[in-house]
Amino acid sequence: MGAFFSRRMMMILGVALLAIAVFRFNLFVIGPMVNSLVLLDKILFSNFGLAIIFFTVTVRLLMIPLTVMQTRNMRKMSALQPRMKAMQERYKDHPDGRRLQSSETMKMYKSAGVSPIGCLGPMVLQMPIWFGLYRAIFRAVPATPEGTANLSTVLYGWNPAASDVPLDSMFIGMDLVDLVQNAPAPFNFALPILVGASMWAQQKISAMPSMDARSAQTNQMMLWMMPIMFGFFTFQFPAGLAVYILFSNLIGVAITAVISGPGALLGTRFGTSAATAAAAVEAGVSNAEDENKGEVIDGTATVLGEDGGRSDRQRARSARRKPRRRRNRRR
Amino acid sequence: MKRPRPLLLGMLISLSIFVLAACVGDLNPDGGWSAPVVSGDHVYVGAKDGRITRLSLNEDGRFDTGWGYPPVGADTLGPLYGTPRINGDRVFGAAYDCDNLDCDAQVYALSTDDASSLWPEGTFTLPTSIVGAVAVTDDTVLFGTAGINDELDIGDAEGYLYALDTDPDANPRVRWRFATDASIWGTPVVSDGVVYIGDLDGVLHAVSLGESDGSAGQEIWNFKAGGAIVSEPLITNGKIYFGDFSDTFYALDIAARESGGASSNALGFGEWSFDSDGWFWATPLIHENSLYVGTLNGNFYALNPDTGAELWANPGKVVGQIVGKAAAFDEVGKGTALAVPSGEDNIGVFSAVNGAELNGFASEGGVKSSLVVDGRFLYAHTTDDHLLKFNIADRKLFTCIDAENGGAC
Repeated sequence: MGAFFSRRMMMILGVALLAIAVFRFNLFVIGPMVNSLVLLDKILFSNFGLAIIFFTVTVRLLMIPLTVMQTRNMRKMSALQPRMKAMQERYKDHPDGRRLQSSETMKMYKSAGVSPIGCLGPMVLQMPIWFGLYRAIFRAVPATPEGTANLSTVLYGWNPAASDVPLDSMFIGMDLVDLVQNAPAPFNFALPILVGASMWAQQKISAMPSMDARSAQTNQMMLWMMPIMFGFFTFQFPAGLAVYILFSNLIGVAITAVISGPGALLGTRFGTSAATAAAAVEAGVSNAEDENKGEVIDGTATVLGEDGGRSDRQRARSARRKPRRRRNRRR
Repeated sequence: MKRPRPLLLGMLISLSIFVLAACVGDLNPDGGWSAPVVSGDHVYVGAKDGRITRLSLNEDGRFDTGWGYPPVGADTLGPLYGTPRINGDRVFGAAYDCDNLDCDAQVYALSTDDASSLWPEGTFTLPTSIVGAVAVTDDTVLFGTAGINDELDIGDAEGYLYALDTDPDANPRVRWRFATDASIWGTPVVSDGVVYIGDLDGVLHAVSLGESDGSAGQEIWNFKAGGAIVSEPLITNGKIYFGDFSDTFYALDIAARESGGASSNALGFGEWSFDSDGWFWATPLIHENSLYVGTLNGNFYALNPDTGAELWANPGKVVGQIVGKAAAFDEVGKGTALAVPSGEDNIGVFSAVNGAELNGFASEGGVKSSLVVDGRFLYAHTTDDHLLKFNIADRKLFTCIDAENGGAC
């Protein structure tokens, strides 16, 4: 997976997707999505709600490689944080500290096999898909004559469901095109709450712990603020969008839980020494290697010191290839 | 390399929310495509701001500033998709506007003299949407609606065909209404005491006006097409012609249908269908025993009205969608020509003989409404809300008026 999704490949993919997003978004993103949704509606008993759910889950499952890569990168970055902090301390009074720190950081990332854009890359790649899916939902069920007329330009001639348009937008008693606040009870309140709760779970399970107290505090605030804000905004969203966000969050939580273990939701994924050690090994660093320079933070996480420039690409590779053996030997 | 800050992430997410919320605007109609109507000395048009205005033909196409409904300053009617209908000295039509999916439709009846409402309480309103135009008989206005807001407990069907009493001295009264299983976006057509209208389930309904036998509002027959029907049917020589969203164009024999001699979901003797490559929204045109109709894919077909056979080797093609009805005119020395509105580009012109593309009209923008030919002029209402008057002979623009305020374009 790692070899396949090399940094260069990611860059090329990212640039290509960005170009598509900018120049031919309708052709390459919206068109296939709208056609899939319309076809799914026909297959799933003319139920557009089921079509949205099935399609959202399918797209998220197809993006698992990106999610895995993002999660692994986050874990590696997390494991490197103590060393980053130690390095910051070391260079804080140095006259050329900023440059040295930057150079050391890059070396550290290189040796650990961490891509600085590794966390951001998959997210950027997913952005056109999320916006596309959102747009596709509302293009597939247009509410206006203009929207309906324009739909004909998106649907493929060979799509057997093309003549079933306009689709019925009712789903378990609510109109998916109408605002959530207009949905019948209990959906008008349940949907915002479910969207907020699922977003909280999604953020909680994928959050990267911070060594910095201020950042940790901000993280904590964001963990609560964003779901609450989104929950309130959901009242003003069309119900179809709320259904899409809800199921996207739920499948995201499930995928991350499978990758990182269910403990992640309880906040123990990065918090235990075992987990940190595993991440550290994955990042190509060992505890023993830096035992004299390490320090203990929060009473649990073993923080790794800098490796004094001994790391190199070869060591990082071997660390990635044979983590278990390497760990055993050092014991 | 710094980690992405949570605050930055928060801002990105907030931005995403605004982007998503901005798209909610897609729920509201954006102005309609009401076509111009020439009657007497005026051209009437429904402007995109929801007002009915008119242009004088006698004064070199000047905007009639003294005539308009609603009056300047009052709430407008909302987007107008249907073309106004002139019946004697009365103008009828419908409009609707939505706050998200909460829609209100209005049917209006105006005096051609001063644009005043013929009904004491103004318009007839319903909590629904009316996309198509109205049909008018001497004493009845007919129109199709989407489902009625069920909170008012005045109907739970998905759509209705309404018949209103048009008595100018009283408020409009519902004579009858016919419930359908799907919303109606189409325009009704009246012929020989029967009103014909299609719905979004693809059912064409033939409903009695009951002028003689008291069967008003009763369905006489129906036909299930392959896709939604939004176009206004055309009735001529005992046949009804219409297209649907399954890319199919139909010709049904009215007499055979009325006598029960044809199935509701199959074609009978003398009936035909034509498979194209796009949805039909435009009303067909019949001219000199040829049938002309365009699709949303921009293809324009000439068909034999008796058999459905294509008359041209290849269909005409315009850039953009054909939503409005084409118009025929005589091209000096070249026979009949057909002007075809394009939703995105200039108005195309094709020879009726072989479909060859001729010199078009430079509308400088899309036209989704039907075209109108009157004498030596062609009128078009663009998607930019400009009312254009072209000289047919040289294709030159004679007048361009902003339909909203009457100013020059």
